[in-house]
Amino acid sequence: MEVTEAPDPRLEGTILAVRDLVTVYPTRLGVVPAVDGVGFELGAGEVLGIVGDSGSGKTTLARSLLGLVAAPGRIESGEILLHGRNLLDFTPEEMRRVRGTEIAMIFQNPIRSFHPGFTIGWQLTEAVTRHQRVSRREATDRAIEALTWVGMPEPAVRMRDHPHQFSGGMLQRVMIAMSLLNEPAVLVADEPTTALDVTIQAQILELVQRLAVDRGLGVILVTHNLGMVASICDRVMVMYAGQVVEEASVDDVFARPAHPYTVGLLDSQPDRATGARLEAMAGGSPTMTALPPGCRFEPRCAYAEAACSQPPDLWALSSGQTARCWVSKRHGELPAHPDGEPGTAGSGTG
Amino acid sequence: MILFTVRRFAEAVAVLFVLTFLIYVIGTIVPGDIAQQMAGIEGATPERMAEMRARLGLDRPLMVRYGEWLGNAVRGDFGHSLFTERNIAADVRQQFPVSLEVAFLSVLLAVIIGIPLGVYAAVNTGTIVDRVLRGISLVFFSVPTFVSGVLFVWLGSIVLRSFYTSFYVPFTEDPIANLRSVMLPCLAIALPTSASIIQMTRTTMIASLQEPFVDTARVKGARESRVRYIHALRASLGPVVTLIGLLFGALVGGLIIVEQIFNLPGLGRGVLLGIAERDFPYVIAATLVIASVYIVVNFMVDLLYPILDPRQREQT
Ligand SMILES: Nc1ncnc2c1ncn2[C@@H]1O[C@H](COP(=O)(O)OP(=O)(O)OP(=O)(O)O)[C@@H](O)[C@H]1O
Ligand code: SF4
Ligand SMILES: [Mg+2]
Repeated sequence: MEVTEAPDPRLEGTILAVRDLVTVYPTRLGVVPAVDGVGFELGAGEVLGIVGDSGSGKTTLARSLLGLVAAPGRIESGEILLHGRNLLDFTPEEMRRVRGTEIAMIFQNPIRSFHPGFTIGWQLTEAVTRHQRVSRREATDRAIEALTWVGMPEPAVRMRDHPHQFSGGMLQRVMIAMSLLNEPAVLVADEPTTALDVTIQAQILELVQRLAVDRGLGVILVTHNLGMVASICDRVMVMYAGQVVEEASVDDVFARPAHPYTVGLLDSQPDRATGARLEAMAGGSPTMTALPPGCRFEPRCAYAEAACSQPPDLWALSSGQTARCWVSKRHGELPAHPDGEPGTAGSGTG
Repeated sequence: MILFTVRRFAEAVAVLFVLTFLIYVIGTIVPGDIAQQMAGIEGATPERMAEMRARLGLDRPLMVRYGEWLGNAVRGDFGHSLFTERNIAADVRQQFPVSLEVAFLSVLLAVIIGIPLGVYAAVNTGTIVDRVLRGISLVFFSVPTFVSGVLFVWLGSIVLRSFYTSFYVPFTEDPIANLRSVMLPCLAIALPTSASIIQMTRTTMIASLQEPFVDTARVKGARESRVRYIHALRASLGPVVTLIGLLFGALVGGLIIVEQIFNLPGLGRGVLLGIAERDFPYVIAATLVIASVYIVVNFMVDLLYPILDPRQREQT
C-alpha cells in the first residue's frame, strides 16, 4: 500500500509507533483491560522483545496490531501508526490488506498453525495470491524462493508435502517463509519457539534475527524467555497486568533493571535463580477485573512504600530507561535492595 | 493408497456377500408361508401344500437353495415374482433409478441446506438465529418422515398445486416434469436429514474455528468468507461426510414411507408391497440392491477420508 500522507517527522526511522493503546475484553466479571495504555516504537531492523507473566497482555497487544483481537475483545482507544498512518482508522478491508503485506505474524505452535489438509505449497502460494494478481507459476516460484531464504532443503520438492510430513522446527521455518512472502515491514512473533526443542529454538531465533538485519524488518518478539531476549533483542518491553512497567535496551535491563518486577523476572530465570530474590516474585498476577488502585505490582513488591498506593506513571530515568515505579523515579534508578542505598540492582547478591 | 483402496473394496465385497446370506436366511424364516398363501386357505390340504413347496423348491436344504440363488443372482437373475410372476430383475431395474434419484436429490438438498446453515450457526453461536436453527433442528429430529411426508402431500395438493406433479415422470422423458414430481418427496426427506447435517457441521465448525491455522489464514490476509468456507469448513468435513454416509442408510426407511405416500414407483414401495404379499424372491433382490448402494456409498466415504485428511494416508 502507498503512503498516502506525509510521514510524521517525529517518526524518522520508525516503522511502527503505538500510542496509549487500550484493548479490553468485556467479561461477565467486568471489563478486562488486557492492554492498558501501552506505547512503544519500532525501528527498521530492530528486534523488540516483549516479556511478562502469563496473562499480562502480550498476545492481546500482538493481535491488536493486526486488528485480530479475539472476540469479545475490542480496541478501545489509542493509535497504531504504521509508517505514520493510524491503523485504527482503517476499514476492515484495508486492514485485511495490511495483514501479510505490511504486518505479518507467526505463532507458538507451528504444527497446529498449518492447515492439515493442504500442501505446504498450496498454503504458501495462498499467501501471495491473497494480495497480488499473479499466475500460479509465479506464485509457486516466489514460494520456493521464500523457502530457500529460511534454509529449506529441496524446496521445490517439499512444496508438495503436507504439514504432517515436516518437523516442528521445519514448519516454523516454513511459517517464517510464508510471513515474508509479501515483504512486510513488521513481523510479530508470539512465542515462536515455545513449542520447539531447545536445540531448534536457537536456530529459529538466529534465523529471525538474520532476517531482521538483512531485510530491515522490524520484529516484535513475544516471549517468556529472557535468555532469548538477551540473545536477539535490541530493546525489551516488560509488561505487567496490561501495562508496560519497564522499557529499555536489552543491555540496560540486564545490567540494572529499573522495576522490581523486572528484577524478579531476571532472578526467576532458571539459570540466574538465587533463592533470596525469588521471594520478590511470590504471589501471582492481580485479577484483571479487580486491580489494585495504586501500583499494580504493589501486593507482590518488596520495595513497596506509602507512595505506591497511587498509580505510578511510566517515567524516563536518567539512565535512558523508562520504568513505572515510584521508588526508581525517586532514586533515578532502582536500589539494589529494598530499603537500601541506590546502587546497581542485579542478581547473585544472595 | 492403492493398497488401501483394494483392501476397502475387498471388505465391501465381503460385507455384501455376508449380507446376501443373512437376507436369504431371514427371508426364509419369517413367518407366513408363501406356499400356504398360494395354495389358498380352503384348498390347503397337506398334499397340496407339499406339492406347492416342491414346485417352489422349498423342500430342498437351505444351503442348496442359497447356493443356487447366489449363482443366479451373480448373473443378474433374481427369478420371478411369486406374486406378479414378472421378472424381478426387470422390475428392479425400473424401480431402482426412481429410488436412487430421490435418495440422491434428498441428500444433495440436505447438504445444500445443512452445510451453510451449520457454518452460519457455528460463526454466530448463541445468537437468536443459532437458537432458532437449533429449535428447528430439534423439531425435525423428532418428526418422523411419515409426518413430514403427509405434511408435504398436503402442501403439494393445496399450496403448490400448480407446481407439483403428483405422478412420477422419468427424468429421461421430461426433466422438468421429473423434478416437479420428485421435488416434494425429496424435501420431505431432506428437511429432517438437513437437521442432523446442520448440527454436525455446527459442532465441527466451532472446533475448527478455534484452531490456530484459522488465525494463520487471517494473518495471511484471507477474507473472512474464505477463512470459513475454505479453511475451517475443509477441516470440519470428515465427520460431516461420515454422517452423510450413515444418512444414506437411514434414508431407506424414509424412502419406503415417502414412496408410499407420494405414489412413486421405486424400490421402497416395492419392498413394502413385497413384504405384505410374502413375495420373498422380490424382497430379497430389492433389499440386496438397497444394501449394495449403502455399501458403495460408505466405500466412497472411506476413500474420501485420506483425501480430506492427508495424515491418514500413512496410517492405512
Ligand atoms: N478471548 C478472551 N476473552 C476474555 N478475556 C481474555 C481473552 N483473551 C485473553 N483474555 C484476558 O486478557 C488478559 C491478557 O491475555 P493475553 O492472552 O493477552 O496474555 P499473554 O500475556 O499473552 O499470556 P500468555 O503468556 O499466557 O500467552 C488475560 O487476563 C486474559 O485472561
Ligand atoms: S511503585 Fe511501588 S509497589 Fe510499584 S513497583 Fe515501584 S516500589 Fe513496587
Ligand atoms: Mg500469549
